[in-house]
Amino acid sequence: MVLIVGLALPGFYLLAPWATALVSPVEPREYQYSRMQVRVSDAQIQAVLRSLAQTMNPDELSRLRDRLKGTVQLPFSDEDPLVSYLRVLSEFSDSMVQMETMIYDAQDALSSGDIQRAEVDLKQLRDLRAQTRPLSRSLPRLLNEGADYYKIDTAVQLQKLEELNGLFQSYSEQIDQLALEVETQQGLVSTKLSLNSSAPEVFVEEPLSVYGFLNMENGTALASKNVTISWGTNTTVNSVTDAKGRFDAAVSFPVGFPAGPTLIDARFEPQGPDSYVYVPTMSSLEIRVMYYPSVILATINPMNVRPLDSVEVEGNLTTPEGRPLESRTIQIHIDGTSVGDTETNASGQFLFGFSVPNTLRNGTHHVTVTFTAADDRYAPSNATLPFTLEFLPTQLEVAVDRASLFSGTKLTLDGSVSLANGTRWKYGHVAVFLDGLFYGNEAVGEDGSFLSVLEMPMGIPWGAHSVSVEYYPDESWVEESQATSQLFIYNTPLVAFAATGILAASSLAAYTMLRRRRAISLAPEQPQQPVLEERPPPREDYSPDRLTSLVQSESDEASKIRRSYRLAQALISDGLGESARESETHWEYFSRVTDKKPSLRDSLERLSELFELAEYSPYPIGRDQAREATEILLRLRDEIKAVK
Amino acid sequence: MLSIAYYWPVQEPYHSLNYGWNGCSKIADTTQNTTLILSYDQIPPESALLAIIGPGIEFSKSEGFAIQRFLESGGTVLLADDFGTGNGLLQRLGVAARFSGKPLADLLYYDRQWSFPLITDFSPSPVTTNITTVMMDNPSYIELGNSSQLTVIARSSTFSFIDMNRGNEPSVNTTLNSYPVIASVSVAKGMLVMISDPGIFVNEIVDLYDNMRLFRNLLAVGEGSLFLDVAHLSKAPLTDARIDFINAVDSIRNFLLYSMLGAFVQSAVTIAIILTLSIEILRKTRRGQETRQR
Repeated sequence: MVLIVGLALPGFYLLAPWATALVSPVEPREYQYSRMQVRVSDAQIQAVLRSLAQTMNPDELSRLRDRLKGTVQLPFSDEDPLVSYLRVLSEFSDSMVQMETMIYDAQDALSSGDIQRAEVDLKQLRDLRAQTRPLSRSLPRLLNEGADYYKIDTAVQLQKLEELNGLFQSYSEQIDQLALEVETQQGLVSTKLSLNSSAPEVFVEEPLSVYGFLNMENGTALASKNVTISWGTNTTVNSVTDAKGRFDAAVSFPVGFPAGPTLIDARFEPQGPDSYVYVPTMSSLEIRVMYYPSVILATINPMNVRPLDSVEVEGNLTTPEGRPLESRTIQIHIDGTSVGDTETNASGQFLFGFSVPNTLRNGTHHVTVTFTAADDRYAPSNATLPFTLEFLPTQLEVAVDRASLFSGTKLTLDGSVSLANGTRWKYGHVAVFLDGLFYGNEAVGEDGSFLSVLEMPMGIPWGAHSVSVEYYPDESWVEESQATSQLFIYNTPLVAFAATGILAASSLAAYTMLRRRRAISLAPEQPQQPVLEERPPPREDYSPDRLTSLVQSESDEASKIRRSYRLAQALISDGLGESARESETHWEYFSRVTDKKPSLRDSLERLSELFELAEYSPYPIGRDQAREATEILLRLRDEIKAVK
Repeated sequence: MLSIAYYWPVQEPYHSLNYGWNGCSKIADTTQNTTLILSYDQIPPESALLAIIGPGIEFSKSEGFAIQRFLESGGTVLLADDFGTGNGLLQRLGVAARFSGKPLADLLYYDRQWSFPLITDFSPSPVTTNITTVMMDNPSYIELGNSSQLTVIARSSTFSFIDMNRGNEPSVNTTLNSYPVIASVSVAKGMLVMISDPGIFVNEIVDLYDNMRLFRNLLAVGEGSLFLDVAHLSKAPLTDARIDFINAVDSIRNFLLYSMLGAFVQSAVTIAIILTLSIEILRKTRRGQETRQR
């Protein structure tokens, strides 16, 4: 057995790859990442450069920058000339986009007279230009290196680089121009412009008076100068300063202008000869644009509803003083979702009815009525109205066919769904969970009942488990419910294993016992030989004293009895010629002797009983019994002597 | 044969019990709360991630319905497919988008070869949190159709192209463009995330770049519970039965080795064997003594 197991197992493992490969699918390894070598080809490079060239246009710099922004992370060697070219091109395009933005900011600062900001921008521009110039110069070189390395045509790329370099030169010239303008403005007379309003806030469509003063830095008023006042998007008005340098204008904001803070700007842009004398200047003033307030009050009826119930919302829209706002649109939302709108009447009242959607879950929800005030001089307002959605509660009852079972067997769940008043509820479905893990779904029938059969996994652990059922109704206004049952599961493989072990142990024990018995029964019969009997003492020592002495030489009472019996056998053998045989029992011997000599029956019978006790009794032999055996021996001596 | 069935490794591509280069055992081990789906009689709970990676078997009507219900209850489905049967499921779910079935490659943004494109263009999304680069493995791309409900989460670079030559040189007229590779769509309360490459999650690739982080973000959307579809993987006929057998043996072994009751059973059997042997030895010894006495 050991040899078979020892050879079979290695054999199986040796044959296993061949055997299982026949049924085990293995995906081809040609696409395996770890077996790939880095690959770059000429056609690939050409395609990349050709695609790049399509976006290397002066007006697409930001797009070029976005396309190349990931090149820094590419897992290529830094020695690859193409990668170096792309990374430098990425950096160059990024710098050019920054430069364009900063030039615009600097020009704006100059035009608004903010010389300081313009100076800062100019410095940054100069630094940026210094960083970008070497990039622009290195690009053609890197491209040529790549062309030599990959043996590709880069004529189109070179042309595009020339265009970009031309753009860079243009930016550079603009920077120089900006520097000149800053220098120029630094030699001009500074001016100051102040701006004020008659009120810090204004309602829409109401006029607001703004005014201010234009002076030189030393306080001298500048008269007859044109000041441009602007607000909103492209709304401007011009005003000319008087002898005191004062200017004023009327400003108003139309309906639709965003409420809240807004800026009014005043600018002095020197024109003609003044542009060589005075520095442009501007000033801003913040005012708050307001809308007339509105108030909306509303109620909802009823407040406790179920899905598909009809609900009414009514209210009114007024000014804070109570003046009704008629013909205004009121929008209605439920939890942020629009359900419709209505319009106020001449009294400012509105009424809106709707059906409660059946997609809402039970609980509290909110209806919001909103006056959006689109194109209106009144400000928006709203009101929120809560309502409670109630669902029908259900009860789930589940019964299992047994509370304990073996793994691998089936368990039947029988249940029903009913309302709180006991009425069966039909349809929907139940989900069954075993120890919290989803097991299956069952549909609920028309009578509100369901039946589910679960097969316990064979390997489920021994012990207590739980089966829970959750009810999910089809109707949204019906509540879910759940029920749980407890089970005890016996692990079938474990029981089988234990039973097998016990059976094996029992079989082994039974086998050894049977074998022992069989060994005994099959032992070859020994030829009958006379018992190696007690060697009788010499004839002259058959004396009672001698016999008694021999018996008393034994150590214990049982041995004395056995000795007495053996001496009696010796006397009978010597006196009557009847020797004991090994194959016969002591009672067989008794029968044989007493058949021949009936007179010895009583004594020999009693002595045989005592011998049997000494040989087989589990209890200790007493001294009286040993003495009795000795006396019987002596008596037998006399009886044998008498019959001889 | 039982030993072969137990010990021979699962080799099906994208299988969560496949520990080889093309298996998905690593993503299965990202959470202890992982369940393998062998059939759609069991629908995951609503707060879970159902990952369908590399499906090769068509989805039945009832299975599509079960997944639809899972989405309606708020579940999250990850469908990662390129040339498989994912389009059938999309059709059953009523999603207009499709996996194009055409191989996508990138001439500039790639690792080792252009069939392993690097994705760096991501839109803000819970799925793309802290992700800068993801590597794909012979992917396809997503055709959006006319759906306005789809949200493109990631796109390939503007240097990517449809590699119909499968790794050979791109043709002169090859058009380079950017293609959507990850998109999501809301279905009722749930979300379906489509990724046009199941290879992004295989053991050999998932630890590169931000691939594993992408999966962990998806798992976080599914609140940490992972249900892996193995029912639709192309596999050998006996694989499912083998897995059942392995699970049963492991269950019994773990019970016997690691439970108190199992220890008692082992002890009882061992004691019974020892007692029997001891009794036999004593009997033999006694018989020998009796023979010598005679």
